[in-house]
Amino acid sequence: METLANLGAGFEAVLTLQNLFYCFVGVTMGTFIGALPGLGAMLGIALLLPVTLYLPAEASIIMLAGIYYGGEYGGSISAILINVPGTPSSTVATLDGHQMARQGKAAVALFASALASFLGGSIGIVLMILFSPIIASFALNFGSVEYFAVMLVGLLGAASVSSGSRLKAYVAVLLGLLFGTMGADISSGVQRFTFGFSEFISGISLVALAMGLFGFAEIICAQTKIISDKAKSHVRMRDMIPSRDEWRRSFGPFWRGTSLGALLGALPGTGPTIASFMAYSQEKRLSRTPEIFGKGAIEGLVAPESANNAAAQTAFIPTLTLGIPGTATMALILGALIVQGIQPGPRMMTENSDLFWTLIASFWVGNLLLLVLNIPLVGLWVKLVSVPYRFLFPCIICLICVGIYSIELSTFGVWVIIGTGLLGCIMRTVAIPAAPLLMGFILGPLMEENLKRALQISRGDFTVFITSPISAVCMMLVLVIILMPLIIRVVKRSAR
Amino acid sequence: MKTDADEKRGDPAGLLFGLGLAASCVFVALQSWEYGLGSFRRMGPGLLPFMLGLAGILLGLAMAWRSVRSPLLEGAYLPLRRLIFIGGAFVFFALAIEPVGLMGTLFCTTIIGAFADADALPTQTLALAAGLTATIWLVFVHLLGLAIPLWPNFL
Repeated sequence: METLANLGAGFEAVLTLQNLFYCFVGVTMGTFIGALPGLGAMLGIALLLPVTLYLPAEASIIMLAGIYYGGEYGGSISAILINVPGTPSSTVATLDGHQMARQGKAAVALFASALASFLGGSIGIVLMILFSPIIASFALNFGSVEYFAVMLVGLLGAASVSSGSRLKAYVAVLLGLLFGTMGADISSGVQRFTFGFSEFISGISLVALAMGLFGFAEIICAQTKIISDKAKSHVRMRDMIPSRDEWRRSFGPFWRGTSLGALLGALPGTGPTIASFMAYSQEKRLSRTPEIFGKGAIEGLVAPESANNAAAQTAFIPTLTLGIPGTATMALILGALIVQGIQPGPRMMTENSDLFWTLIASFWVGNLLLLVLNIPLVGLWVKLVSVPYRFLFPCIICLICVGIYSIELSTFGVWVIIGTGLLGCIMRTVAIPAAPLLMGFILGPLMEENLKRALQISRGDFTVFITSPISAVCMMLVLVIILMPLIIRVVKRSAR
Repeated sequence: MKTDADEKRGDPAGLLFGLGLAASCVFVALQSWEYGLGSFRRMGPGLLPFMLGLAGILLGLAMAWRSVRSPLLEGAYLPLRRLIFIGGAFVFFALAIEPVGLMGTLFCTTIIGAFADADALPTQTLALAAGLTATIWLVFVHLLGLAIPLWPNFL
């Protein structure tokens, strides 16, 4: 009952003109940037971070979150219509979604994708409402020991599930942790790695780091494809309604996709992308007619679309209730909250419960806005996506520069972006992922604080990490995460 | 045709990065030593970075070792044209914003950035530069009230 009252208050707060406006800006920009191949929600969030410094905490977080889940919708549009995934998590939607479009069922595919996304997202929100208070009250008993242990699992987990070499993901985490140590040490005041720049005393700025890695490096290295000629924008509203058979076939895949996505979204590391891939292969395995997959099966579109949107919503559960982000995008949103002076975590649910419920209500409003934006306006998105990059690049460059300059009215931030951006480019050429770096950067200082406190209380005794049951479980997980691939390799080698 | 010799050529970028990382981490570890390690009971400011430095040396060497034996990384290249023009646009902004002011800087930054794409046309680019400068002025200066000097300070 209390939950309903809280949620009601949340809706009241969202349905003000100001918050509706920021929600609308967020989801619109998210859809646009999500639909653009090669550019993801990370860039959108990084671009708007400086603007949020002028806004109240509530409005800014509503807007940033809107970019994030809006990107999931936008990614599917370009996946279906032009066979180029706008975001990594919509890669699977190209398989059957684009085939449907080729068979003249583009309208049905878009409708099914938008509806599956909306319903999957809604169920993710309901789960968030149900579980967040429970997890938060459980986490209230967490001490420094438990926090450190859970963060360590989150960090290593996120690094080890990213695609590509695990060694390189660990290198990225390490770089992030090192960047996190820059600036004055909280307890002793010693200035670490400031290289004589007074601007670095408060640490390297999150906004500059994010803009460098995901703005500067992304527009230089983005795999841009010429898509303007392939775009088919004639999609009529009345062609959108799926047939009765298609409704029936979508039912099972929808529920299975949503459940899988909701679960994977809440776990550290496994975000929407992995959820969509797993949902697709799960459907293919369970299907009685696996041969139709990849040839325009609506099951192969509905399952991953509901999975990635459910995951996008449940990813907020650990971020908001524990203060531990599962993916880099969540880490950036967490960072934005910290910049606003709000420390996400179990205490946020009691101290800033208004903000929490307003945010949840905004998810629903945002998802509804996205449904409205997507179904009738799909043609407009396709036209926008065909904007050539020679127009887009300068816009992004100018927004980044003015954005960072506006924060402190100094060019120092621009130079930091150039430096971190070049690092980002080098990392891309040697295939080191940038996302784990951001996770390390955000979690590093929190982990150091908690480790310091835990060891201070235990008088330097490391066994506290094993005697606390929660921490002991986490430490076992850490061992599994690190050792599992080694064991698998040894077993494989001896089998050969 | 790919021969065995090509396969074993290794990945020079990865090798360089690994060695570079290891070398920087030697610096990190030495520097952290000076910050004071403290004890586990009372961690000093240098303890965590020192550990990270040690870990970084190991990871860097591991990466270098692995790249010597791995095949050449396909498809990972740096688009030079974009790097020059986009990087150039950022550098220009940083150098020009204070002496030249917002309007002129944005106008020129846009033009430099547009040429990151080889298809950029002069007239379109000029129109874009004018439009973008006006829009950013509207949003950041007019609506958000940002106090950036708009015109060159010698005027």
